[in-house]
Amino acid sequence: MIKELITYPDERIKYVSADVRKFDDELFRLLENMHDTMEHYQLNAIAAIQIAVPACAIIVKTENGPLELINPRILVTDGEVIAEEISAYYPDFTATLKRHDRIKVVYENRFGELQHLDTEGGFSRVLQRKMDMLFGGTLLDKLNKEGRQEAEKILQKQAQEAGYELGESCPTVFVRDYFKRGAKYLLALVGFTFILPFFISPELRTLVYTLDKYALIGVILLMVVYFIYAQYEGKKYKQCTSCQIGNIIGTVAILAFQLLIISLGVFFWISPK
Amino acid sequence: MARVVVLGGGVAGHTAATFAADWLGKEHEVVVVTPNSKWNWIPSNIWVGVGQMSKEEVTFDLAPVYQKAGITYKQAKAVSLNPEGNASSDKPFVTIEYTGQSKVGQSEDVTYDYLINATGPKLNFAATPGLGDANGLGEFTVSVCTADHADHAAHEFAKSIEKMKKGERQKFLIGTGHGMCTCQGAAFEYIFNIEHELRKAGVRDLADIQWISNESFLGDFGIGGLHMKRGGYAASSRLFAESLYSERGVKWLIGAHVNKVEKGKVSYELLDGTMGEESFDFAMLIPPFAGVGLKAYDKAGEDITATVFAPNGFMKVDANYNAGAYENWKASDWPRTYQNPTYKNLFAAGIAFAPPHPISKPMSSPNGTQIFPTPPRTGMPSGIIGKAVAHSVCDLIKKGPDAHLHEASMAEMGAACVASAGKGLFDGTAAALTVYPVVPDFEKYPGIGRDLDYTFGEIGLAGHWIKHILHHMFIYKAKLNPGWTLIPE
Repeated sequence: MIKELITYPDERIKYVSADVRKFDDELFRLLENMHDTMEHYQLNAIAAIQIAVPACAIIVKTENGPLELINPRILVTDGEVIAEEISAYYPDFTATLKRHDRIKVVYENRFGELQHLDTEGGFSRVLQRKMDMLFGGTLLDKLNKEGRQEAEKILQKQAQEAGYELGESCPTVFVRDYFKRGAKYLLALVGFTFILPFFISPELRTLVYTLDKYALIGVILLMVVYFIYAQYEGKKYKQCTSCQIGNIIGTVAILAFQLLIISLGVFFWISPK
Repeated sequence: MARVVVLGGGVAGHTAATFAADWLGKEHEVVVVTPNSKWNWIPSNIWVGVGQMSKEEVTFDLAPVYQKAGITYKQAKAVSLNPEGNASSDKPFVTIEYTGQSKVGQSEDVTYDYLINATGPKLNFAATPGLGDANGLGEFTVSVCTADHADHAAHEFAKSIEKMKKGERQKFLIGTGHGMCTCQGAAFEYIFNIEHELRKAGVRDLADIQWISNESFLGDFGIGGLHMKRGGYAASSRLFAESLYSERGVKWLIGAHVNKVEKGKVSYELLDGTMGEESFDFAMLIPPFAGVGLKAYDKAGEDITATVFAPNGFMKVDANYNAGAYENWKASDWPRTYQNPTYKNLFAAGIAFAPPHPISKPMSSPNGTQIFPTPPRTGMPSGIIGKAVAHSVCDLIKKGPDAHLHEASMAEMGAACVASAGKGLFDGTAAALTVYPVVPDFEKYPGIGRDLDYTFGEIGLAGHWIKHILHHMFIYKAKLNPGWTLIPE
């Protein structure tokens, strides 16, 4: 049966596929569906996750017909090659990336019998790409951080042009979150000082107590700035969610609770007796 | 007055003994039998092995700690068990042979009401020719399994650095020394600490670093891999591991069973049946683990070792040892109470219990050689199991034989792992990972068998700090300093 092919921005591609444990009719049906879908979309290879089934199975076209690889693993790699690649998951996108040239692969056939192959060049690249998909990886995971960010921008633009609602007008990171994170880190830092009384002298303990008190004041200031800035940012991106105000109040309440707990710790535990 | 004998003073044994002594008080006796005079925080052996910590920083003397806790300490190794007693008495006993306390070589029968077997593993170097023999580590490779081994490794590593400073190229081979090893995590930490130290020493460009292991994918770690949540989906530890190896310029070779070690060279068989060789100037290969070789005898003196212990030497507990093939494995195969099915006053904890089957997918080469990681029972699960077993034993003593036993199944237990990838206050890195459950439960969590709400993974400097804090915290706890019972396992 021909199945729908997962394409960007469908995030199910990131799901880690599980090892096939039973070599039964269910697996055979999956493989038939993969064969049919591959033929329909004229692909040269397909991973089960591309039809939204998280199982470690791939099919690759070879000169001798399609090759089914169940639970494949790369054992040995040799050499590196940089080349352009395309993927059916990103229909209009080409990435230049580095892959191993030669690989040694072990896999099982549809009857659960262990097989192996040595391969290089284009076939090796296709196998590596499909096997990455089994572990939740796509082309982008092979790029460096800058390359990935750039590629994400291009892909988001393409997806929007194609009519997907990615919500680019909503930033993925709100500036207010930096204040929240700052407050949390500062609280965590104060939390870590709770183990110090076990090791340090009374004089040092007095110093830690003083520093902790300053840090707690810092947390309060960051919370105030967070609350005020979040109101401003919430108005700026009204379209993002309907309950930003609720989130902001909730966040402040959680932070206040954490602050209370940590403060109690500082005043009753760190405080020199 | 009941007597609880704990065999072993590692993570599981020490946890079990100290909690048992705390809960039982002075009315009952807790005896620890361990051949070592010192306690060792094994995870930090990695840092000893690269010369970043001394042996003394990761060990401490057991005697004063046990004295403080009111535990009877016998520095000895257990030789055999008589769970039914012998011809002259019905009282079960364990025969021990002293390794210290000025009684070296002397034997003694220690009777018990309850026995917790937490001996840990025998480091089976003899399994691979050249890796070692019955006496332990061989001459060609190093190990970080004990503090002494790690200290030796640090000296050898320093020699390699000296050679490199003189311009000589060196090849480092790190990984597992047999097809049925566990503890890939320790080798993983060691290879990246080596890489980190080589960079610090300014000689990284003269080093070839090669990973060799019995995993079938990088990042398997003996538990079929870890999964990290990323945008609501799980990312595999394989992608994380591969990018780390590639970023740090470490070559890898997996699905390998090292079958011979010679001077400067290992021979191996791969999962595809092919044979190969890898040269080295410095090699740290983890040995496979086996049971410590305890024998068991019944009242008449007949050997009942096969009743009490599995063929690999680990103690049989309440696990399903007849699960059959991989496709039939279930989370419920894993033990819950760690009680021996034949002798109800025998328990096992940590590595000493026989697991029902591996966690990773079992694989064999076309030649029939089994090559896959065996299940780890170290670290956090080991401590949790030790504590649960101690709790059960204490309840059996205090509430009677019908007391409810405490449970700690690895299929219902999460584990946190902080793997160091280099030590340094400002340039250190460590991967902090959590996994739930340790043993995948394919029925409860279809697919990968893990609950993604409890998975987490991150690598960075903060991880290193956590690792360093854990080092101090667990040594503090193990020394039974004030508040030790509040520190989790």
